Amino acid sequence: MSGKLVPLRRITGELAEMSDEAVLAACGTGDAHALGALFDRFHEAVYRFAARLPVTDDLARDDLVQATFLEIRRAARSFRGTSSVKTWILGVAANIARHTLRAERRRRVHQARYLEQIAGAPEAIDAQVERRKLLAQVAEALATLPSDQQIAFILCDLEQLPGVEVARVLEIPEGTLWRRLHTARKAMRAAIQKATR
Amino acid sequence: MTCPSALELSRARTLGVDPAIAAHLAGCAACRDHWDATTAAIDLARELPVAIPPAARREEVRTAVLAASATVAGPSTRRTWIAPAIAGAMAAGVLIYVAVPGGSPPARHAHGAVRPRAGAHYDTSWSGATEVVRLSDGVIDIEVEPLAAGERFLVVVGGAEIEVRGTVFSVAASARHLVDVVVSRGHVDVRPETGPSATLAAGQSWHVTAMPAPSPPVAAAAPRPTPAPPVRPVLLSPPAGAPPAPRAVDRRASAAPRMARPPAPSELAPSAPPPERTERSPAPAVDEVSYNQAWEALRANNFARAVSGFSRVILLAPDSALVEDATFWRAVALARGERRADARAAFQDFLDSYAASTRAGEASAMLGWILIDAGERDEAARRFHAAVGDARAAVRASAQAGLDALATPKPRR
Repeated sequence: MSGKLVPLRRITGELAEMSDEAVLAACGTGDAHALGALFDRFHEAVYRFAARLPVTDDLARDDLVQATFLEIRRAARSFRGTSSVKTWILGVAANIARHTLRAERRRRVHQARYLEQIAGAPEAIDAQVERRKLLAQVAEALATLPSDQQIAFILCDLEQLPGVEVARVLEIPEGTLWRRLHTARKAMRAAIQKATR
Repeated sequence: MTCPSALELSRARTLGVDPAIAAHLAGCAACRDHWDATTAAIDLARELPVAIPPAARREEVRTAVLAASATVAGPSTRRTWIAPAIAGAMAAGVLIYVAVPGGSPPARHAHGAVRPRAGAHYDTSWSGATEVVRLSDGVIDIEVEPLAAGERFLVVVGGAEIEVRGTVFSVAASARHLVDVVVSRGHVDVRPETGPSATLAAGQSWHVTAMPAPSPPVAAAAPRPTPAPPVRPVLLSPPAGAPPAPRAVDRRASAAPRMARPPAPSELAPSAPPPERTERSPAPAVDEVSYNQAWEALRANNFARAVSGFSRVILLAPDSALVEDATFWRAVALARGERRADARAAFQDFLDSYAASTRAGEASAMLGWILIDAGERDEAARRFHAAVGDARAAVRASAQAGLDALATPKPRR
């Protein structure tokens, strides 16, 4: 048997017109419709973030998304408005992912799968072979970054979230974020240089 | 000007380039190369594939999130009332165990416990000493304590009504119509919208004998010219006899989303108990009943009812091993009912969700024929090619016939 009442209906009317902050606040009061609305608004961003982590397969990705939104419901009242709701939500996802990524053995397995996925992506022959190799190098470089650098790189450079907000939601000093980003970018640059030599 | 450090350049990229750094970049080839190389690296990383699951899968995850969120403690009063909550939870735990062994906490009402399954829609209201649970969709299990004189407990589904006098029972509804009532203990009076009332005792059940017909498909309103159909082996007829037993399902590959495995609370921002992991539910009798009814409807060529029945199985028991079969046969019922657009989406959904299914070839072949009718010959060919190696000769024959039909030049108009 599964859980208790699930108000699955989509929000309509006023709630749909509420700001992200207001919906998050409603979620903090235990409003399940608000949680559904947050899912509708931000699940693609969380999926995209999860998909960019080279350590996740499909099921782990679903788990990460679920865990993120459950944590959002629990922690919604702690939102202080020092970042956008999107940054805050991705920060929650990042914190959950960071925990997951610490399991190094699991990480290596998933990393190998991810690289297989990249290598196996359908491509037009000849003309794109070099580009495919280059992307594989980039993917490998991203996959082999320490998880904290991966998350900084994904949030700041790929999701293009403001660095100051990212530092806040990750609860790290800004200087730490800049160093992680710098190191990550350096590794990514080196990978490309190696591939294009 | 002295070159900024690599760290400063990196910081400038995120925070914005100030005029001094911009001027330096314009005049310093080394820094410019560094900057451009970083830009290239980021641009390439943005090109990496980002696989977002199909909408149906995301909807399943959404449902799982909302179902799981309903099982965890609400956020509003947890800290303030932590001690009473613990005491209350312990007491409730005992009650719950006695009432529903192995289940998750039900919602307590004054007269008993209402335990909805995933996807159930209901609300509860009071009228004097009468408690009314209005169920519109899904299944709820209810335990009602013995009522005092003058007290009533009613379950209302559309125009149907169920009255209890202290009992344990389950009610299933679909689109505000009563579908099933199964009594585990005590007595229940069932007063359906139409037909005679019945009093059920423990072990007895009531099942709907006919569901209202669903709305006709939109496509039916616009008749289309019917081209001469190619000869196609019949795959869409279910064999006579009892419905096939649900096959073992690889849950990791094809099941509805599992509950998330959250990290330890200490790893996240504010601490809290982790979300509970929902146990897989056993296939309840009500779902098997719906499945069998849908199967009978399919064999009787009552496609609308079959579609409704298989949809009900998918809705009522998303974790059941019946869901894979129900998803497949629902698509078949749609196809046989000439709801081609719906059937196409249903087969695609089946193939997306159960790519490793032993019925994948069969579904591919059927989808291929639908695509031929839709004029999508390339996609149809892809589906037939996916089916020509199927283990079943009939499927291989159908796929080959499809490929042969595609190889025949299209008739001139």
